[in-house]
Amino acid sequence: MKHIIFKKAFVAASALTILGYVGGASAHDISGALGKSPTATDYYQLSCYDDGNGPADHLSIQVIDMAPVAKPLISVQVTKGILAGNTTDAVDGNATYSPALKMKGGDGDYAVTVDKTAAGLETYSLQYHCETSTGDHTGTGYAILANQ
Amino acid sequence: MNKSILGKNFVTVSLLGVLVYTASASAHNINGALGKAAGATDYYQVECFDDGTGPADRLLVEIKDLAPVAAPLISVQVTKGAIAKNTTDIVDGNATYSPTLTVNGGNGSYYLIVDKTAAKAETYNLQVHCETSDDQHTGTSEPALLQNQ
Repeated sequence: MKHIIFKKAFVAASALTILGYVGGASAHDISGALGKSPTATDYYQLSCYDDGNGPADHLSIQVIDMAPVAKPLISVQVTKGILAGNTTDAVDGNATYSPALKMKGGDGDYAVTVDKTAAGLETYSLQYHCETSTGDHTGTGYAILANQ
Repeated sequence: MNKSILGKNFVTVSLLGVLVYTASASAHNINGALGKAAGATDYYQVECFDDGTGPADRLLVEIKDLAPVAAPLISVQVTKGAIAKNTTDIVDGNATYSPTLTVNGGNGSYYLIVDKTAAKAETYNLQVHCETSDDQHTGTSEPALLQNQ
């Protein structure tokens, strides 16, 4: 009997953990839009911190170019201190994100820009997570600085 | 005679002014290269300051995709405080720069990211100038290379 209760509690705890992680993951998907201008750029500040799972080792980020299927390619650039990186979704209109960009900047603020290569409205989804050196998800926050 | 000397002096001073301006403009052209990796990114810091001409109102930036003529498009993104903008050279191998980007951030540090959209080595020329609100060229530091990939 005790064994069954323990198993139920374990399943419930596991389910809560999964739900918590999914909730966290879901919170780290940003749907955004870039205006017609070819210079339109969205600008975010993402924060990595120790939420109890351990200090962040890196930020992992990728972007997907969503409808409309159009000429501009969408990229995301990340900087922290003197580090800079970028990744581009080379194919519009499919279900594949850009290659994941992993920036090993530890805890702190990462500056993230999302841009496109030509004029025309575009929408995108940005997926990001801060992770520890052992690959565990850890504290991840964001603020939008510019929405164009 | 005095008028003639004054005229010659004026021409000399004007020529010097043009030469100084040209030298200054030339100093703000940076040739760079991006490696094969699709994620290769160069990163610069440029300072705008009052060199006596007046405080900077903005930074102007443009970029040109140089040889080889290849699939990746080259862009430059500029940030300062909460401002972010970008410009892309959409035609590789011609003599035309990307549209000029105007970032109205005043004096201070601007951060420039140069990237490309796909794998393959590329080279580029980056042109930057700080200007006052009345369009005069003002103090512009040599772009400091923070990261070279």
